[in-house]
Amino acid sequence: LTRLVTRCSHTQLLFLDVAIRPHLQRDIISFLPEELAIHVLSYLDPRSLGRAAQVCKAWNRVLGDNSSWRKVCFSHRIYEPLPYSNDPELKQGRLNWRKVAIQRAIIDNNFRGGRYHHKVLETNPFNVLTCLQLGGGRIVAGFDDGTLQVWDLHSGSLLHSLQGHVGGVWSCQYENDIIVSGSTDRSIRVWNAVSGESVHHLTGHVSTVRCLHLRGNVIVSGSRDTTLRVWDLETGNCKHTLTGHTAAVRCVQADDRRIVSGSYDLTVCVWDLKTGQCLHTLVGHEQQIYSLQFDGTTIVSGALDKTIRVWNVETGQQTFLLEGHDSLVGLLQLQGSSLVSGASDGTLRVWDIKTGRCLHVLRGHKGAVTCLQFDNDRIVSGRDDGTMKLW
Amino acid sequence: MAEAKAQQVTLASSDGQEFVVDVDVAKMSMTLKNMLDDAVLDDDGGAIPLPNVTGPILAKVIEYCKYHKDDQPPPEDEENKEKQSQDIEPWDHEFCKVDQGTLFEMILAANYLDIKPMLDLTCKTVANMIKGKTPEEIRKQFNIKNDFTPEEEEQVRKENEWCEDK
Repeated sequence: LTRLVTRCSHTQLLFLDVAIRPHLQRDIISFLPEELAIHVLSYLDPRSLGRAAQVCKAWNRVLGDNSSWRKVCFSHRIYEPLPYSNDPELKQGRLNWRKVAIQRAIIDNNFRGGRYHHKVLETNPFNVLTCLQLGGGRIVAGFDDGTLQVWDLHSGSLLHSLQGHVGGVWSCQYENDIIVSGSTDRSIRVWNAVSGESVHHLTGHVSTVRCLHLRGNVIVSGSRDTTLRVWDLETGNCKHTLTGHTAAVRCVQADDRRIVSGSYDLTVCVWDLKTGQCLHTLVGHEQQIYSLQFDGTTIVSGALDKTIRVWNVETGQQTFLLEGHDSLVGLLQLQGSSLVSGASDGTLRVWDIKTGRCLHVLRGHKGAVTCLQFDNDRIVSGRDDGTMKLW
Repeated sequence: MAEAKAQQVTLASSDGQEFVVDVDVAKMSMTLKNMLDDAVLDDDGGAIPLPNVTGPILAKVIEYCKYHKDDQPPPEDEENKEKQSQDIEPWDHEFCKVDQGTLFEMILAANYLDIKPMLDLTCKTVANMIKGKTPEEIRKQFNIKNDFTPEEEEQVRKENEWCEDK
């Protein structure tokens, strides 16, 4: 063969090259056992997969399988559909993973391309928007005039205006079609997000309800009256009143066993959800506490003293002191070992709470950061002048 | 002398070629590691037959294992990381510059011999041949015939219209 090739002219060699090449090619995807084909495909982005599905019948078959797409989703760390869809195939149960991946890809594309629809939701321009949440195809917002409004996320039409509070709404949470709101009128109201009906009116606090956390069948509320209260969502009964803080309770989070609260009295308290006993009082912050996050094992608190402190919920010990912000740390989000903090100094910081290191400082906002949210891919932050940034 | 010899093992490919390799190289393969660990005592010095792997492919596998035998095992949280196909080392990149038939056989061999990093590498290499290409470019890349009827093709195109939405 070698001799044959060396005797060939240039033209003949070119001919051989063209003739041989297809024989060296191999339709790897079609010939591999399916699990290996999926292994290959799981390295691809959804867009490339959408194109790969159009190559031929065999490729389309591999990519027509829901479990292939499930693997693709998992390999891109997508474990659930985005929360605000109203497509039945994107609700829990038998998920259409292909749709989940496509949905993410389109959203990702829109984010990167800076493309969006602008939709103005009708509100009373004199009201201050105090809290906002998105989910289940709806947007829920609370206002300082005591009303809450529920919009359809897709059409933008107003579904319900929830009337009842006689003082401004300063906290609300929306979960599984239930809305819970806390107000300066010292009460909490529970609403049905679908019908717009008021389900319960919870009274007992003697000052503004500033923060609340709805978890399962339990509502925990924190008030300027220095107490926290634990309520039964079904019956509306107050199960415990937690006393111990000596100033307003500003932030609260709970898991299935414990409640963690941050207060203007400079302390964070850990409470037993069942008994209402105070388990730990976390002392360290030198000024009022404005924000906290609790994931079941770790507590992170942010305060006016410009610091963030990381605590172990079991021992009540401080594990890290995170310094760097130049003013009030009012916003925190914790996910796994990643913590993102937003401060009045206009910066955001990304921290690793396992090591206590600051990984990134995000500068760009010209004033206090007023909201932030992040997922695996990006951080979105906003400030009171209406500007938003994507990191 | 006997000790030095005990560190080596002979592998026989499906076409009868024999390869003498260090045990720690062979143990990059979980399949071989399990065989060797089980057969420590009754080792008769005979070659281990690998009926699913041809000589040229086995040579590639050994080349890979020799180069990577001292690698640190990947960190435990590897599974939670997003799968990336861009993070290929230069040596690995060169190593995978083979024709598609060979690459295909390498995937099968890495899978059969259970050498996870090599399986990941070869699969990534194929993924990179697909990434960012149009269906027609992919067909050309792998010499695939478009076997859709025009109606079917139109339907599949519609289903995947979203990915052309720029």
